[in-house]
Amino acid sequence: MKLLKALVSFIVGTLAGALGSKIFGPFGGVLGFIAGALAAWWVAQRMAFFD
Amino acid sequence: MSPTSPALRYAVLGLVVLAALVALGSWLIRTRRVSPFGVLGRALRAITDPIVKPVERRLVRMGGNPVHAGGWLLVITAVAGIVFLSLAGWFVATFQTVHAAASGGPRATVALIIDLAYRVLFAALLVRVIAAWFGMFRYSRWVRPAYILTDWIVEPMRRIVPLVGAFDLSPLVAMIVLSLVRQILLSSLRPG
Repeated sequence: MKLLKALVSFIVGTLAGALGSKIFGPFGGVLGFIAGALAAWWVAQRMAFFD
Repeated sequence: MSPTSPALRYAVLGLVVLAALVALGSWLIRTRRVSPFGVLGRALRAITDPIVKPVERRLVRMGGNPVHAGGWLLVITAVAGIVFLSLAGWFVATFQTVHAAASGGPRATVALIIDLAYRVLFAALLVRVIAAWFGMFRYSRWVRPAYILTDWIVEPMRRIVPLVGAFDLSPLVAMIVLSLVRQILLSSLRPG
């Protein structure tokens, strides 16, 4: 279920990006988005959330 | 500055976080990581079932996996939140523009009407172009209004602008012409 996993990762990434940009500015926003999305994807994969 | 208030944005964020928690609770029960018959399981079911069940019913009807209902709940909440915030922002911005135009006299009101007409026509042209990419043309129920609104400008353009390979550039030319006409009309309204 890659679509759902990608959508949820995108949402988590967006939230992490918003938090990152609040704390560290625009660069933190980009980093937060990437880190959040990757972390969400990894957790979903690891915990078999959408399998 | 964003026209929507921070309280509204935090409320949407809170709803998304709540949806994520409900999704997690529902997933724990459905995958039997928490026994549905224990105290915690029963409490989780009592909280999450009324929220997740409607999504699950629709998902199953569409041939999806009911275990994914929580995930879809999160996605639906986030998308609905973004749409709600965009609409709220649009309403606030429109209200502010109309208020400014109303207090700026007849020139400002006419300028606003020109600007609104331009925006509506531009959006209709955009819908027409994007719908064509998905094979939806003038006989589609959803796209027909866009054709009705823009045919008067696109059809004459089509007779003048040649096809470039398989691409019909007439809507693009219509957008440029509309933008030019708007600029001319707005500059003619400026005093002095």
